[in-house]
Amino acid sequence: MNAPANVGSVEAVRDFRSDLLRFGEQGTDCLDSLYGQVHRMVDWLEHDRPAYWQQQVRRAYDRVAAARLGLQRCQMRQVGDHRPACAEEKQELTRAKARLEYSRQQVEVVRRCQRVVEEEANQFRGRCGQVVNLFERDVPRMAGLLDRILVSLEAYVAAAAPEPLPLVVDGDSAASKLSGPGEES
Amino acid sequence: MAVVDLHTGAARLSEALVQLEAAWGRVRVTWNDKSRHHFEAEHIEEITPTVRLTLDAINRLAEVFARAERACLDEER
Repeated sequence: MNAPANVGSVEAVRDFRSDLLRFGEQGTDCLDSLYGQVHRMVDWLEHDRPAYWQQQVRRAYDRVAAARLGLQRCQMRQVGDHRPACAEEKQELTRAKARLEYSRQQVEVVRRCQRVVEEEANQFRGRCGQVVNLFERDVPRMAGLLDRILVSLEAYVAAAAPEPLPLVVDGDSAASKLSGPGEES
Repeated sequence: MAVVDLHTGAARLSEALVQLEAAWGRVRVTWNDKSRHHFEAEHIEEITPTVRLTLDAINRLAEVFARAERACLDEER
């Protein structure tokens, strides 16, 4: 014999089925959006950053060359016995060399970050396997199960419902028939 | 402005879970029989830990992304 159902509101179960499906859709949307962000980060590291830092290296080489030329020109501007200090030109050459070194290092930093991010992104996709199954497989299954439960509940409620009362029985109103013993108004 | 934003997606996922938990809380008070207990034990109870694990994974990835972004930006510009 089946266990008795105890449901105060079949409508509440039906509402939950809708909420569950909405949850599945929201979850799938969120994951799509997150995967999009992961792809964007990987793309930024594989294309944008290498191009940027390689361009910075080229610019830094040009800047070093220009600074060397500026220093040579300055040093040639000897007036009598006076040799110019060329402090500004020396400073600019130092700054240009530092920028070149920094830009070269950044090319390597980007390579390292690519490897780390790619590995973490793969691990993330792996960790998401369970939640992807939840949204794409389990939630629709649960909704299907709720459908079957709802059919059973509706059948149970229909079977348990009392026969509709006639509106007028022997001159008495149906309302008076609804009152139980000792509940006379 | 950050290159990527994982926090918005994580917040939306977290909010979806909160909404579902509230919805289940509403149905639980009106449905109390063997079939509800079975449905809860077999299906509902796995949802929260699964989503929480994913949220942890998103937070971990967001930290890695933030570090990589800081390292690869041009500090001198």
